[in-house]
Amino acid sequence: MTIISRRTMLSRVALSAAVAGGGGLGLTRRVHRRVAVPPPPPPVALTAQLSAQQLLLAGYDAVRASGSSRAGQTARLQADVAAHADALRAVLEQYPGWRLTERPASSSSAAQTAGPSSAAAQTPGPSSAQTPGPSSAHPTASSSSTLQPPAGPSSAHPTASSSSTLQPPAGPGVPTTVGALAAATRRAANLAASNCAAWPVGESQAVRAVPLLGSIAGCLSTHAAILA
Amino acid sequence: MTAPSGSDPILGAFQRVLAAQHAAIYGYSVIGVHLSADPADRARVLQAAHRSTRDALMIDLAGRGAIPVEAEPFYSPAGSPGERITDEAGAQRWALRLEEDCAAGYRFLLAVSATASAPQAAIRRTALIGLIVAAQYAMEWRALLTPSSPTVPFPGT
Repeated sequence: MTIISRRTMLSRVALSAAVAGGGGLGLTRRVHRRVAVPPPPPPVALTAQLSAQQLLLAGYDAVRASGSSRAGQTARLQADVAAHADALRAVLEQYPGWRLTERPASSSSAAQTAGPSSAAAQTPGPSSAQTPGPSSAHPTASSSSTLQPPAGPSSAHPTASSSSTLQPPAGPGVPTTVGALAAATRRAANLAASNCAAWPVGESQAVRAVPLLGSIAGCLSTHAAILA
Repeated sequence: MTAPSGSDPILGAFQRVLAAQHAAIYGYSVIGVHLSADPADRARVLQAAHRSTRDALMIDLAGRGAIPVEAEPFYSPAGSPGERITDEAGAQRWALRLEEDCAAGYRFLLAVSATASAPQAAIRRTALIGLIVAAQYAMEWRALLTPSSPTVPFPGT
């Protein structure tokens, strides 16, 4: 028979009571856990414009590689397009969803597989009543426009390849002639103009994005005139 | 050249664009004298375009209940009295600056339209078209001044 002191016995009783009380609370009360919700993706208007700029950058590389006689002239225009891409990335950086998905595709497979519908549904966008024009619901990036490694000649361009994880938009491929580059530039200018006009009033980055897209549209329209 | 500021930022931005148009109309009258044949013809065309835009802006502003800003009696190439145009390159530089001022005005209008309290689709389209057109006009003059770099990445900035 073991003899224990009164102090030991009291401490064991207190410990047992605490364990029993904790267990009881655990069984009778719900544990509230914070669930990690992925941030909304950035507006597709910006990601699509960035993809268009990267397609143009790849086109300039291809035209120069083909030994075009206008290589000197196109170098200056390419610098403008690279500046557009940098400015678009700077705005995209303001969206947590962009910072999350911008990581290289190899290390972010979970983000890639996130369903676009659920992500879009969680996107807190401005109400459609605020939006001018037909595209009232401000679209957000879909899975098809994000997180694909650059392919083809675009990866050779330092600006496009350094932090780019976007895939060129569907449609005509990389322009390889000056004429095709002019047509692609015109399409990119039209895209910037339409996105500028349709950007929702009061959106969090509207004051930066709208003038930027307008300036890009203006610049690309001058490029198209020069290349034509 | 300062745009009058009012309580409505949209109206203030419109007035800034109008002030730039006034300056362009005046400036091209002086510029044209110093240009050779082809650029002088182009200056006349652009002056007519700015005059047409000015008239449309004044009608628009009046329709919004605002008093359109008036043209100043004199504009100088560098923005300070006493500056004079002495050669063709100087005339081209002034023309470029006039178009850049117009582009800046339209870009400002775009920014203001993005934060307006109510949708301003028509205003934003006006500003967008104005910015694109001004960028193209500026490119024409820049191509004469610096043929190797006729464009800028962000017109209006």
